[in-house]
Amino acid sequence: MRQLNLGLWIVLIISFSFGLFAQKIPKFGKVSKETLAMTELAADPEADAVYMFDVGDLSLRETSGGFHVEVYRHVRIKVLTEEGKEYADVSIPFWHEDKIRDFKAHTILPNGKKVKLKKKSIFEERVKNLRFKKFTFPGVEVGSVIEYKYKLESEYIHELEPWYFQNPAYTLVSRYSVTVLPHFSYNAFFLNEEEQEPVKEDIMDVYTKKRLTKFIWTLTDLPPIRTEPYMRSLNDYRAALHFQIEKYRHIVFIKDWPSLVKEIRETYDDFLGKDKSLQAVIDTELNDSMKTDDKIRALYEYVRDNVETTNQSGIYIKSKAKDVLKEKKGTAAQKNLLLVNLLEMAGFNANPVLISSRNNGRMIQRHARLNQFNRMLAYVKSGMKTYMLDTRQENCPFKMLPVDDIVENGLVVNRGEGGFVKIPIPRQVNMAFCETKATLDDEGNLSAELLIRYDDYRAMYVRNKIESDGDKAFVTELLKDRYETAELDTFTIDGLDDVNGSVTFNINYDVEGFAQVVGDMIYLSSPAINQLNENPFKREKRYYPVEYNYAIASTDNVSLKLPEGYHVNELPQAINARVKLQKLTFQNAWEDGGDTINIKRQVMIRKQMYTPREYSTLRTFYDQIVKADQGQIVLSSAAPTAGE
Amino acid sequence: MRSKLFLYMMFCCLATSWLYAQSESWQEDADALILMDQQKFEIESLEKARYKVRQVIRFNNNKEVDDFARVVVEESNLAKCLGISAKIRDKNGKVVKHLKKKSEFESAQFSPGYELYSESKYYWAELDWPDYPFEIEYEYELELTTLFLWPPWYPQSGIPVQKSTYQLILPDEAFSFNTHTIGLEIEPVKRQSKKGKVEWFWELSEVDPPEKEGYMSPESRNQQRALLFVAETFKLGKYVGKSDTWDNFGKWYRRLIADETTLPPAMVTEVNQLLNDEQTVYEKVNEIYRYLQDNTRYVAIYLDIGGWKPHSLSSVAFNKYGDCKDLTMLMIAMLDIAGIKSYPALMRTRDTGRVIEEFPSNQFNHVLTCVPSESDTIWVECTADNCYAGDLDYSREDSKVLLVKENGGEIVYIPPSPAEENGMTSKIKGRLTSDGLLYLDGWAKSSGNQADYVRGNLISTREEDQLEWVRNYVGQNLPKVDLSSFQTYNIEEKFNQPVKIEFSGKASNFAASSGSRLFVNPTIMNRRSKRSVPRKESREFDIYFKYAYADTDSVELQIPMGYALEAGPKPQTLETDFGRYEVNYEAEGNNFRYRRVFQITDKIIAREKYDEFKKFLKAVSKSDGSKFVFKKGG
Repeated sequence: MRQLNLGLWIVLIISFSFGLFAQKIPKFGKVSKETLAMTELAADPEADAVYMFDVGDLSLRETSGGFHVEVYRHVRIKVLTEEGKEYADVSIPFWHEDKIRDFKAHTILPNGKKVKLKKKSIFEERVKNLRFKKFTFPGVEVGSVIEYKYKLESEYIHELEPWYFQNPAYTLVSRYSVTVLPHFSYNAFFLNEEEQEPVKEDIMDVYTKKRLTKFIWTLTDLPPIRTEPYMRSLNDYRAALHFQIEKYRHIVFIKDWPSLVKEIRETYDDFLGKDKSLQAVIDTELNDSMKTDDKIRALYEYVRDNVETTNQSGIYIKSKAKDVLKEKKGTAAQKNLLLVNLLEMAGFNANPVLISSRNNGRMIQRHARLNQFNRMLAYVKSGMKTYMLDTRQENCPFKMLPVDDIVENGLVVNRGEGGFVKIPIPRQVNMAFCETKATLDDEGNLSAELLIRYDDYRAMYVRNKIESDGDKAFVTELLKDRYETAELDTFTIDGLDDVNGSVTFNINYDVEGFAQVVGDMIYLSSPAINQLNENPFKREKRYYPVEYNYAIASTDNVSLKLPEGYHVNELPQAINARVKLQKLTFQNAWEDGGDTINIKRQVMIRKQMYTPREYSTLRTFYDQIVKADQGQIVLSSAAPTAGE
Repeated sequence: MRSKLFLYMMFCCLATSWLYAQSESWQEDADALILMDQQKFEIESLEKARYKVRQVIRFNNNKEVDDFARVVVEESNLAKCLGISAKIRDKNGKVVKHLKKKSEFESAQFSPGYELYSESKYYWAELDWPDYPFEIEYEYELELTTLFLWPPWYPQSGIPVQKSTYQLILPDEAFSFNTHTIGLEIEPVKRQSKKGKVEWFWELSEVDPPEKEGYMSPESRNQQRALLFVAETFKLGKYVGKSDTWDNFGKWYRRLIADETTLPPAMVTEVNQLLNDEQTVYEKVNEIYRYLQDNTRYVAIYLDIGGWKPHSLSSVAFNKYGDCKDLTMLMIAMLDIAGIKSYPALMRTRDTGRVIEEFPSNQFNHVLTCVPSESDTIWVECTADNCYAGDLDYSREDSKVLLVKENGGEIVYIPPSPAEENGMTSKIKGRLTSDGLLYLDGWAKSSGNQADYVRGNLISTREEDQLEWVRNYVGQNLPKVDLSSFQTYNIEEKFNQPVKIEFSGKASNFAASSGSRLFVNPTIMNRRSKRSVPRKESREFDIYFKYAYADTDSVELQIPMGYALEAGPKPQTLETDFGRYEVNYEAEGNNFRYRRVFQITDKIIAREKYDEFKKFLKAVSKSDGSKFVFKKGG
């Protein structure tokens, strides 16, 4: 008896796990009573809708013409609340040369009745190379199940899109499967999710009578995707499966990095050439007495300043170096490749490097695809030193890169197999040095003379901003951000034109009612131009890292002349906050100078990325800055008492 | 005498040469300038008209390139694009780019914003050049199949306009049309035209961009100078109408919607089940309205004249979706089952402008349902889900609407809601530490338009995100607030009750502390900053608020032991006919009680009251920005 029971248990356990594994996806139109009756999701009680399942099934088919890919897609969503009805508006993007066939959609009402989507209610739109199938489900009620399926046919087998498991709403089951002919090799890897071995199935293809292998990856109970401020790119964080077909017998579908490098290098070599116009530039700009550094710098500055940048992105090149030089116009890639050309002719080891800029999403090294890259830089090696250069922005000094280029790695496209190289982390301090000489009158009005000197990346930012908004707008906005009502008197700017140096502002302004006057007392905060009156990190928890563009530092020296007859009654306490590990520093100091008050303030934030774990430390640090900046100076015109 | 005459002549010469010089150098330093804006509208018949546009724009630097260095033409099935061309001329006058045919332009078919699908197609080209100055010139022509879309004349643009012209060609003398001018005082010139046609010509030179001042009404922001046209007889689809009076325009709309008025029987049964004899008219309307809200959703699909003609009632009922006019027709049919008479009301949502009553024409972008009654007309907004019958938000108030009755139309005014109906009250109790930290708990209640704002942000939001929003709502004027708990009431139901939020937590750096003093600003929930005070010397237009409202905030703080009030702003009451402000407080032992009232009574304030308005806001912001100083041992 016992043994039988044990046997039964074993069978039950096995069949149970098979059930979990097999995760049978219901047929189109077949909905269980439980699903129809469902009113909320235990795992996500606030859900407005839930993806019952999201299935993608890719098969590689061999035809007389070659190979093509067929992706079968089947999605089923349950609408749980009134707001969940918005999932009934669907837009499916697809590449304009691909085809969508066998499209079917319907609404299944809670009572089981089906309402079909009519063909004439499916619309199509197009923007550039993308087409969109747009439709909305008819007769949707709270509790309805909406379901659609279609087949996408594509000739593009080399660049398969990754499969994203997560959706805007909670997803119960997300399944991606690939059916391929045997004897081929593939490469599949996960991002933002633990690696999982696929379940393998042998199936028989009815048409060709060939035995095929099906690989199935299934993930269940996926929370919805979130977005947060200070994020580089959402897709960097979604759970995804990247799948590439590599080889089938002798046919290679995907190239590896060395072959991709070789392919694109050939197009770059077409551009390069030892033309005499380029030699003329070298002869004019360089001479033998120059140091290596200066030579590279001279050529960099030449290309940066003498050729107009017509397009900031792109890695493909047409035309020739000498034409770019002649017309004095080129895309960023053409300019940087021209620089490589000049450097090579001057005897340097120079090559182009491809990167994916900050807002383009992180490069995936495991994925040999050139379309992840959108920019080209120039990379020079001289002895032990290396230089990473980008000539596209006229305000970018030698040895600095435009902010958007500061990423982790790039792909060197040399005459060999290529390779990956680190993009140097900027080491500049990026200081804003400020000096304020201010006078306060007995009505609380402030009159100030401000000097600000911006260095490095701050200077570059300021130059770019003034170019787009104008100098007056820049200064006005600076004052507006700091004071509720400041009147700009006069200002001058020095150093705008020397891209390698600082930019210095001299600004005269007035602030009416800056201090609060009550009887014979005056209350005010420091008139330093750098002041924080609220913590920028409001949320208590954070899911994604905080990413700054570059490290920053600011120093304020303030000298405030008191109104006639007033003296200091009380000054705030000095604050010193330093978090060594996170490279955060803040300190300030107040000094009573009789008829003047001297204030010093300094902030340094030296790391570019703070993980979610470091978030609360960062948040607390900002609290301390706010507290310090809130400090109130108390002035009195009454005779000072013994206690003061 | 002679010397005086001579002086006089000299003066005239100087004056004219100065004026001439002014014209020559008008806006020479502008970042960009529209040298020529030519528009031509030629009407051949009720179903055929051609609209031609030509613009020449000069760019002296890159500042306006992002906004103006391009041509975009929208084509729909009622307005077909016959051709576009564009040129770029560099600083030497050489043509460096020339697009001659439609096929050389980028095109895309996509529907803007809230529409799921409409038959809109766009043609465009980016026309910028890296070397300054450069000029662009483009031309395009549209063929319209209806005069319903008669393009108005807007001589103003975001950049200065050297010259703008509008040429109107009519098929014959008998053709009747009307115009309405806004901010323009010019008369057209009648010109000779060929083949018995009639031609009118308007021209304006040296047109500055629109005036920008704070607190502008939508109509003064969007239409400072315009010439509007309407054909007295027009045809849309197969429906002919007259636009000489609102009554006739209403008659036309009645014909447009007359097609189908029968509901599927299942729906008739369901509606009847909602009704009983004990209900008042209002209750019946509300029951049917709730049924509409639960069973339908908003989807806008525009094919052919679907932008104006509602979809058939049977398809709206079958699909359970529609846009504002579809859902209105459905609502009217359902009310009919209950024996309640109702009408569609065409309106222009207040946030886009105002209906010009003296100019009967199509000025509408929305439809409401109107249930007239002896006592109180009930207005129903069919696209809103979270409200009761009769609830309207500010964009549906202070509006003139065209009520489309059985046999014609009439203009009716929906008044704005008074300040008391859009109120917010709050009460916060807190304990302050000598470190400046405030432990607080309190509540905030809002009604009317203020409740709409809160409800819109909290409804169907996850609790995590609600917490975020409430935290920002409470802490908007504070350095940092962390909430340990919160509770909301009447967000998802009981829409006729005020929305209430209770919260509890702590505010870091609420008070600045230094040695022996604490500096406290008790305006937590509502604080008017100095930035909200307008700065201009004088004003062109009336002052506009979205709605009248009243805020009442009470704060009760427990100050740490040993501290006493040393200084602070004076209590005050400011009364004006457009608003009021009241601040009073009392400090007793270590209890500090503060109360603030701020009210805007009139949503539109005449520009003559500008100085008074400025003075009022200045005093309010000064008081709101002040701190109370508590001294230890004082």
